Amino acid sequence: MGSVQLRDVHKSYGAVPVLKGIDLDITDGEFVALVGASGCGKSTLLRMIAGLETITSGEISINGKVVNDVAPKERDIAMVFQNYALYPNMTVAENMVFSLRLKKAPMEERKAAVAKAAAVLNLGDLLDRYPRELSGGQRQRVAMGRAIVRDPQVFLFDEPLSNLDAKLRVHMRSEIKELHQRLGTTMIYVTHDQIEAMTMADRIVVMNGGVVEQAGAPLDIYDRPKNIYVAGFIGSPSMNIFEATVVGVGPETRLSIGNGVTLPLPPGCELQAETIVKCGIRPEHMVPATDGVPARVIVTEPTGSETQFTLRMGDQTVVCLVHERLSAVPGSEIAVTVDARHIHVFDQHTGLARS
Amino acid sequence: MKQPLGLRLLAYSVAILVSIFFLYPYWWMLLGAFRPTEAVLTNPLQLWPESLDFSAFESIARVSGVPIWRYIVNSIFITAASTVIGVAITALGAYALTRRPDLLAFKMLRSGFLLTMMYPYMLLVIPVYIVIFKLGLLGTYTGIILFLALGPVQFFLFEQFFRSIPGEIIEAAIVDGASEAQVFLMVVMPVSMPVVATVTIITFLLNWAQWFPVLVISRSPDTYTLPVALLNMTGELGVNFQGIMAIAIITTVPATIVFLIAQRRVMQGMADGSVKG
Repeated sequence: MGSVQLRDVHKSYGAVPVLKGIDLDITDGEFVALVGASGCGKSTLLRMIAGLETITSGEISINGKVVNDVAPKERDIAMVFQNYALYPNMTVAENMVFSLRLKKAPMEERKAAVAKAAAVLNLGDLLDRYPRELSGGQRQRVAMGRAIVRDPQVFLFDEPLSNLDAKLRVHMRSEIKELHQRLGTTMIYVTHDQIEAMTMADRIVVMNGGVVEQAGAPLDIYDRPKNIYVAGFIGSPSMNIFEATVVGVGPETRLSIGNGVTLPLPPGCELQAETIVKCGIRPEHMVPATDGVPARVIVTEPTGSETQFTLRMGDQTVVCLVHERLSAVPGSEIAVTVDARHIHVFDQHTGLARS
Repeated sequence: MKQPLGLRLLAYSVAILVSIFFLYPYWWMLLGAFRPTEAVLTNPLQLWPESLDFSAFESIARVSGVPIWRYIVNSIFITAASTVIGVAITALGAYALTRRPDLLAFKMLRSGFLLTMMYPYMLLVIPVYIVIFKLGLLGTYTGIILFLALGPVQFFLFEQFFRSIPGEIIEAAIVDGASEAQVFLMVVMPVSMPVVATVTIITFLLNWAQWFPVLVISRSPDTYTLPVALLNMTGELGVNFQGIMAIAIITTVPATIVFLIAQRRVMQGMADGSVKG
């Protein structure tokens, strides 16, 4: 059992508020990713759950027990840090068994726990090495092994893959995900990398400026962003967002994006003529076609599996992602169509979704 | 990269010249111990002894009525005790200050330590005397040892090093269930062995050479150390160069040996502290 509840959690450093009322329910066995730009308070929140930071106001409970004033070691959590934080004076095995040593657990239990964690993470050959003799990926595995040995209620990960190179990061991503499936323990994972969050988590919590912008399943958030911040943050390349004016009435209502170019309104979205809104379209939802909205190609960036086009459409510069191989060269005119269902409309002032 | 021969020759000549400059007084001291005072006075610049004269070591068997072995034992005991206590206490203090700089008066304490480094040592005589007197420790080993144990240099070396230890390592240990004392003893101290070695050596060398606080706190020659005995030589026997040089040798040889063995460590530790901090 390892559920975590946050109730109206605030944190300020002096007069500077960092977290402004966080409410979150994490159920047992869930993999939750806290994601947001640097300085959004995600790491602070994680450290507060760990007990490494005090709580200014609000309540944090683990398994229904309020832990506001409970020392980290009493919380039954394990944490994996960005820079691994291995004890340099201890071997891999000693690192992993440190928590049990502090608990004065019997020798057999220590040995069994290390053997089990080493088997899970493939660390068998490294047990007698010192951290300085390991590569980055190995160190991160040892850090996870140290967490596994504790058999905690909740695993906390603080950007554990940020220090690894791109290839290793992808590999470790699936390793952590597999670990979660195997152990079934609650995991809270902080990252600034939205791809990491999307691929790994059962649920994503998008944070910005100390508040939760949206929490939900990855694809839910991707498909139905609640506001313009989430829309722009989730997705790579990010969503095209531009200003549009509502023109026409009734079924003829369309979005004008300048130069006489108009786009259809998403179904179920009713807007007054002359309203100025923000309009968002994901790059992969702009489909090249024989007829459609005319656009001029500015830049092409082929990656092999797909090609990214930068287009001038109406008054806007947009990015379009195409899986087919188009022969369009910079300067040429093409046409794109956009399915009305894939157009997002946001209020110009509040940034909230209108569609 | 290899430098041109001419440049290297020049560098070596300068280095050798400077070395001679520093080594010559030491050599002179060694010579002086084995040459009669008259010879030293008539021909002070001679680089080789006329004959080896060991009489000095008999003449210094007692200084100020106290046998020389007493000074030697005092020196070893006071230096060793103050070094051990000093390293332990300054390490603990620096650790506390690194971990919780927000605690009341901690910043002031730090500035206080800095101030003591700027304060002229000689001006300490009155406050040291008064404090030790009020503690009732005048003329005791405890008084001398306690005073020598605390040093701002040691404190700052520790502080610099502790700052360079990533906070996450300490936090990982806390999450793993370590108490603050366990974090200090099982994680921080083992990691800090290089700086512990450096501070130990520096404290040893500094305290071995101390004479001023020893003189102030002592009430009789019974608690004098070798450097104080050396100081007493001038007054008592006029200019017994030979005797002075003999005690100087006894005083400097252990420190020199310690330094030669440990100098790489000292340099390394000093550099670590300054670069990483």
